[in-house]
Amino acid sequence: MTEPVFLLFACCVPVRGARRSVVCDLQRQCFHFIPDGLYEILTEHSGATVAEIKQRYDHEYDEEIDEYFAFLLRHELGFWCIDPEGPERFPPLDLSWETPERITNAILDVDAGSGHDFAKILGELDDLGCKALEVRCFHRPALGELRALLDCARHGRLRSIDLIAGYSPELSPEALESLVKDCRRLSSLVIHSAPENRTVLLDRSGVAVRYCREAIDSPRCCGQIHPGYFAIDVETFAEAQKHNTCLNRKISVDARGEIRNCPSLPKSHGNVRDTSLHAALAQRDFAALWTINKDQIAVCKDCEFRYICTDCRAYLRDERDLYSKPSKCTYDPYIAEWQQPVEERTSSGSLTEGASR
Amino acid sequence: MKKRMEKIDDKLFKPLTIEQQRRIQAGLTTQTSVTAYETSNPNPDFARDGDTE
Repeated sequence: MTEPVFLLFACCVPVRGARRSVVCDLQRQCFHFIPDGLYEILTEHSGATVAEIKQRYDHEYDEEIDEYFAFLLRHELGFWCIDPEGPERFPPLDLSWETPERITNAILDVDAGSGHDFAKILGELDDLGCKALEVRCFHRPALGELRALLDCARHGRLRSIDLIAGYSPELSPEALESLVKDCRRLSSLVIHSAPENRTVLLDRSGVAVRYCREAIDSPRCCGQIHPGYFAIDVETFAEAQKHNTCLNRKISVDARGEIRNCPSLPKSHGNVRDTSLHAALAQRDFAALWTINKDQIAVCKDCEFRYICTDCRAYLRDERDLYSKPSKCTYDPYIAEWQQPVEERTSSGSLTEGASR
Repeated sequence: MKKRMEKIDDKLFKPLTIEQQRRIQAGLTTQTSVTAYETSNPNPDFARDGDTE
């Protein structure tokens, strides 16, 4: 009888890090830490029987190897295959990434002096196929202003809107529930500068409203790296292989109407008052950063989280090096530890700079 | 070169706690909004899109 070999499910993909590795379970949207030694077994010794693997390590780690496979089975990351042609019958996941949309996601910044033509901007985003929009109101908008904005998104192809707005008493959970009822595309709400920190789950829609005391008053809040924001799914994982997980297929309009890839990037590609989003996107250098992936970035390329993490190219550890690590990432993959956020060690920064995800 | 096989129950390989994964207040959702949405809701109901209620 054929000796079984262990196969990972196609949706469970191992990623090597400098100090430890992970298996990303893209179907269950979670990850498991594993030793680099197990990564080696799953990749370099893939297709070998347990006896063969133990033999290759001179039976020095038989107990550990048995524990490894027990771990993989316990977490349902793979299975024993007795079919001699098994490995050929279970090919790896195709991680090539394509999308029909010219733009998949957008950021729209608003403050009290913006005066954006929301209908025009949202119409152009829709033409580009944009699926997801984040609206960041740095001021305290009236409920009516939010309604007017969201009314412009009533039709079209947008799937989700994440709304961030400054607190005012009229932005009560009841009022926001009504807002969500009228705009089903609203998928999350953050109310900053609120009197207290609290999260309210709106009953009917299931949308969470997060009230927070800190002020979110500029794009400088951006670029935080934290496990809470890891995206462990096939789409992100595949996109991350060759593209930037923040900037790819993104377009932004800042509070002054300047069109940028990201509001925190210095390069403007025109102003929405006299330049269409299409025209800005057509500029040769608009997509210049879209293909900077984590395998090219210093430190990140040795990190086990590199295909599930959101990158940032606006705030860099070395501003002169476009391929340096995000400055707001405090993870050190060489010792597998999160360090204290840099911002927390300073007292002069703004409230938002001190925030870390 | 063969790598030393570490014990998988070492604390280095323990899953992150809920606390470690909790987003700290005021951290903006700066990641690709698409992934944020689809991660939080892997089976979104696209039939309810605002036009069709």
